[in-house]
Amino acid sequence: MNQTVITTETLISEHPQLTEKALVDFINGLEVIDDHIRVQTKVNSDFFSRTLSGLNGESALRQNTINQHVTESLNTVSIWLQNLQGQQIQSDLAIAKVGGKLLETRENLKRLAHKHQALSHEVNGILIKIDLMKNKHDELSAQIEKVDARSLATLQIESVFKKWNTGRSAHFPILARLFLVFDELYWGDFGTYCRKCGLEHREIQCLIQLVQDNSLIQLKNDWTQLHDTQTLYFWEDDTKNYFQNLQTDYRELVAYLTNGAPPDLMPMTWGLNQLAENPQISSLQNLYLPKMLDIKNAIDRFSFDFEARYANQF
Amino acid sequence: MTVNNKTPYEKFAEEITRLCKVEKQLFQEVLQLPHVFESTTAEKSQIETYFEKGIKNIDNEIQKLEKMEVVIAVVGTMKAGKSTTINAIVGTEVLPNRNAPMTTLPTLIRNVHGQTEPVLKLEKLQPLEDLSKQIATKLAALDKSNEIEKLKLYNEKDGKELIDFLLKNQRYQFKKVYYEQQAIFEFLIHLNDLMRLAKEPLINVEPPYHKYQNVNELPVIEVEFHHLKNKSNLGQGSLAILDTPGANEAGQSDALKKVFKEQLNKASIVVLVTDFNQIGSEADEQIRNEANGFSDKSNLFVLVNKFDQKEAGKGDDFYSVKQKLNSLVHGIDLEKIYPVSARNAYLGNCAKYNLDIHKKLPDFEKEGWGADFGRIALGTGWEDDIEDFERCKKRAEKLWSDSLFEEPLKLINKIHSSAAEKSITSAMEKLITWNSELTNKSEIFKYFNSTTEELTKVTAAINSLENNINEFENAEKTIYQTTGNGLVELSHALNQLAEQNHQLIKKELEHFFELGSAMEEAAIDEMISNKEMEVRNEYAKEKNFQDFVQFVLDGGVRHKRRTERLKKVKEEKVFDPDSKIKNFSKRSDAEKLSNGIRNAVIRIFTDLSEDFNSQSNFLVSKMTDDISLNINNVANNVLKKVENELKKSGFELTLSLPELNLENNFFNNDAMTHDDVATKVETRSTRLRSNSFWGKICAWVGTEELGREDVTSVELSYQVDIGKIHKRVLEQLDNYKKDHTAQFDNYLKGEFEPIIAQHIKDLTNYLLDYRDTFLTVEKAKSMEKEKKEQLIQQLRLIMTKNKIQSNDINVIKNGLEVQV
Repeated sequence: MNQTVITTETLISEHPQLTEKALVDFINGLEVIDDHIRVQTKVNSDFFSRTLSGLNGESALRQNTINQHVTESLNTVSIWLQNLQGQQIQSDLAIAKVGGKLLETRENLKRLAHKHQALSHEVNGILIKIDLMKNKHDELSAQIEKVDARSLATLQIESVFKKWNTGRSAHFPILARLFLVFDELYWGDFGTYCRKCGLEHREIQCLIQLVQDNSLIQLKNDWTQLHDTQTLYFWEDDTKNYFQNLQTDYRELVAYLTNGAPPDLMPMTWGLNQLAENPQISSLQNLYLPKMLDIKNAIDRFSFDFEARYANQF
Repeated sequence: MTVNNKTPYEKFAEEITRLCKVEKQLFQEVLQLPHVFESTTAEKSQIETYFEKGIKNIDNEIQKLEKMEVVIAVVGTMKAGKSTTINAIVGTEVLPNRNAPMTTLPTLIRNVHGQTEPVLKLEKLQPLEDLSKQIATKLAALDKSNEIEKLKLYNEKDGKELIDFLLKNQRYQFKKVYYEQQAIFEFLIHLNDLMRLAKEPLINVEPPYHKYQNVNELPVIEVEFHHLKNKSNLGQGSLAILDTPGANEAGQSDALKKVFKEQLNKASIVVLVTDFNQIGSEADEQIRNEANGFSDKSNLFVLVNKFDQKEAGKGDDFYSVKQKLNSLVHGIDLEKIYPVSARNAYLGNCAKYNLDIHKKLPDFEKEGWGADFGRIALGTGWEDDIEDFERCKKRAEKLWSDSLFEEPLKLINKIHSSAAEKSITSAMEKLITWNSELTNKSEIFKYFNSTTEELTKVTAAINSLENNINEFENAEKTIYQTTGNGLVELSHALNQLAEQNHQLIKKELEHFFELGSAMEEAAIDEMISNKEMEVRNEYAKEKNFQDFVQFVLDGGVRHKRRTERLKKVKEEKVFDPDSKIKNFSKRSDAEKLSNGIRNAVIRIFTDLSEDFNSQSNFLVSKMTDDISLNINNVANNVLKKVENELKKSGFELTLSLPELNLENNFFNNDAMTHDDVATKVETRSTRLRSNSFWGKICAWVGTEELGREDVTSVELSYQVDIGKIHKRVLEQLDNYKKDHTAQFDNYLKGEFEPIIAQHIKDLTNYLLDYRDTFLTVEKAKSMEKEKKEQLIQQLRLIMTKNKIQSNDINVIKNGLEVQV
C-alpha cells in the first residue's frame, strides 16, 4: 500500500464534497448533547421522582453528573460554533442542517439557562454567538435563493467532467471515478438544484441525461484502456485490485464518502464502500449487487443509487 | 492480487441465480403489498396464485442452476467392459470388475473437485433394508426345508457369505457413507447380490426399484475425475455417470424397464458399450435391442470396446468397424461411434495421473493395475523398467493415445458445456418473462390510485379480456381434430407398410420354401438310397434261408415282396414338391432351414419396427410442428387483439406467450424378440419294424400293418411347416401393427394431448391473470385514501427495483450472446 502523505488541503480541493459531508456528520454528532438535555428535563418534571431522588441521595449524584455533562455540552457547542465560523459552507444541504441545528441548540440552551443559574452567563454568551451564526446562515440561504440554480448546476456538471477528463481521478478504480462524479454532484450545485425542483422536473431529467451522456463518453474512454467494451465487466475483482494498490488516504476517502450506503437501496455505493474499507474481502454478499456490468448499466446503476440517496437523504 | 478462478460460465450462472433471487424477492414484495391481497374468503385470487406459483417456479430454476448436473448414462451389452469404461472415464477403479453380472441397481458416479479418494453415499436406506429383511425371512424358510443349497447364489463365494450373513442377522444393515475403495466394492457387491438373490425363483421378491426412480436417490460415488482435474472450464454444473443395466436387458420386469427407461431419458448422454469381438455374432441383436430403445438417438454414442484386440490383416480397420456398427444401429451417425480400448485407457489414465501427482507408479504388488500397466505398456521384462519415470510416462501417454479414448472424452466435455449453457439459457428466458409480467402487472396496479374516470378504463379492460378468453377453447377443438387425423394417417401408413411387408415375407418364405424343397428332396434321395441299400442288405443276409423258404412257400412270392418293399420305400418317402411341410430326418437340416427363416423374419421385423417408428415419429413431428404453429398463431392473434383493445383503454402492455413445450417423445415399447418369431421345428416319430422275431416273420411275409406294434426303435423326423410359419408370421405382423397403433393412440391421448390441454389452460390462465389483476384494482376503489397512498408508495419502490432488475437482465442477456 502506498503511504505517501496527501495533505488535507489537497483532498478538500480535489473533492469539495468532503467538507460538506464532514460538516453534516459533525452536526449529527451533536445529537448526543440533545439527549442529555432531554433526559434531565424528563426526570425533573415529576414531583414523586424528584422527592424520591432527594431522599435516597440519587438527586445529588445525578446533579453532579448533569452539571458535568452540561459543561461538556457547552464546551462542545462552543467548539462547534468556532469551527463553524471557520468553515465555508456551500451546500444547501449543509446549510439546512446547520440552520436546523442552530435553532434546536438555541432552544435547548434557553431551557438550560433557567435551570442552571450559575451557568447563565456562559449560556448567554453562547446564545449571542448562535444568533450571529443564524444571521450568517440566513444570509447564505438568501444568497443561494438568489443565484440562478440551473446555471450553477450546469456549470458544476461541466467542471466535474472536465476534472474526470483531465485524468485527475485516474488513480481511482473505474467505478469509484463514476461514483465520485455522482457524489460531488449530489453535494454541490447540481444536488441543490435537484432538491429545489425535485427529480421528476423536466429540467432535472434533462440534466440527469446530460450527466449520463457525459459519463458514457468518459467511462467508455477509461473502459477501453483496460477492458474489452464488448464483454461484460466483472468489476469486483478489478476494483479490489485497484484499492489494494491505492494510496491509503484515497482509499479511506472513498470509504468515507460511501459510508452509510444501505445495501438494498444503494448497492453500488455499498459495494464500493465494502471494498474500500476492506480490499482483502473475499466476495461481496448482497442480493442487489450486480457482479457483471456493461458501461451503460454501470452508469444506470449509479444513477439509481443517486436517486435513492436523493429520496432518502442518506 | 486476488485470483478468482471462476469461469465465465460459473460467473454467468451465479449472476442469473442472483437475478432469480431478486425476482423472487420482488414477487414476494408484491404479495406483501398492503391491502391488496387481504381477502376475507379462503379462496385465493387468480393473481395471488399467479405470484405464489411464480415463486415456486423461480425456486425450481434456482435449484436447477445451483445443481447444474450433466448425467452420462452408460449401458453395455454382456461383458462388453462397461465397468472398465466407467473406470477409464473416471481414471480410477471405482467399480469392481466381476464375472457375475453387475449393476442391478444403478449407481451414480459424480465428479467432485478435490475428492481424490472415492466416497460412496446412500441417502435412502430404508427400502433396501426392508428388502434385506424380506429376503432373510424367505432364506430362513428355505434353510428349514434344506433347500438353501438350491439357490444359485449359494454356490458363489460372495453369495454364500451374504446368505450366511442374512440367515444370522435377519437383515443387512446399510450405512449412509462408505469410505475407501474396499468398503465401497464390498457394498456394491453385496447390494448387487442382494438384488440377484431377490430375483431367484425360490426367493422371488420384487426389488424396490421404483423407490429409486429419482436419480438423486441412487447410491452415489463421489470422486474427482482425473481428466477434469485441471479443466474447470466445463461450466458450473457437475458431471456424473449413471451406471445402469439398460432398459432392454433380458429378465427385467416391465415396471423395471420403465424405471430405467425414464432414467435413461433424463440423461444428457447415453453411452452404449459394445464388444468389438462380438460384432457379427448373436450379440448383434442385443446391441440392436439396447440401441433401439432410444427414440431420440441424437445423444446416443456407441463405444466399440476392446478394439486393441483386432487382428492385423482381418480388415477390421477403424472405419469398417464404425460402418458395421452403423449398419446395426439405425439412425446413429458414424461420428458417434468410437472404437476404443477402455482397458488401455484406464491403465494409461491411472499411470498418467500417478506419475503426474506422485511422480512414480504405485507398488504393483499392492495395486493390481500397476502390473497390468507394466505388462501391456512396457512388455517383457516390465518389472525392470517400472521404476523408470521417463519411460513409464512416455509409455503411459502412448497407451492412452492408442486407446483412442481422447475423442469420446472430448465429446463428453463438449456436451457437458452445452448442457450448462442450456440450463443458463432456459433460466434467462424464464427470467425475462417473469420480469416483463411483473412490469405489466405493476403498470396495472398503478391504477389503484385512479379516479372514477380512469376506473372505467379498467372495467373496459376486464370486459375485453373476458371476451377473448374463450377463443383459446375453440383452438383446442381444432387441435384435437389434428391429432385425430394424425392417428388415421398413421393407421393408413402402417397398413401400407404392413402390406409391403406381407409381400416381402411372402417372397422370403417362397425363397425358403424353394430352398427347403431342394434340401428336402436331396435329403429324401439320400434317405431312399440308404433305405434301398438297407433292404437289399436285409434280403442279402437272409439269402440261404430265404431260398429255402421260398422253395417251401413259393419262392416267387418272396421275390415279389422284396420288390414291393423297395417300391414302398420309394412311395413312402416320395417327395411332394407342393407340400408346405418340409420333412427332414436330420435335426440339423430342419434347424438350418428354420434358422434361415427365423433370421430373415427377424431382419424383416427389425426393419419394419424401424419403419413403423420412423413413420410414427415423422407423423408426431409433423403434428408437433402443425399444432405448435396453429396454437402460436391463434394465441398471437388473440394476444394482439387483447393488446390493441387494452391500448384503446389506455394500457400499454406488451403481452408475451408462454411457450408451448411440445416434444416428440414417442417410442414403441415392444421391441421384437426372437422368441416371438414362430419358426419352430416339429418332431414327428415314425414307428419302425420291430427287430423281434415276430417282426422278422412279418417282414418276410411282407405284412406292413402287422409287426409294428412291438416298436423298439422310433425313427424321428423333423418338420418345418412353412405354411404354418407364414400364417403365424402374418398374424404377428398384424398384432404388431395393432399394438403399435394402440401405443401411438395411447401416446397421443396419454401424453401428447394432455400437454396441449395444459398449454391451452396456461394460455387461458394467462389472460385470466390479467383479468384478475384488473379486477383487484377495480375492487380497491373503495379503499381509504391513506391506505391507497401507502400502497402506491410501496408499489413505486417495487417498480424501481423491477426497472433496475430489467436493466440487469438485459445486460446479462446481451453478455451471454457475446461471451458464451
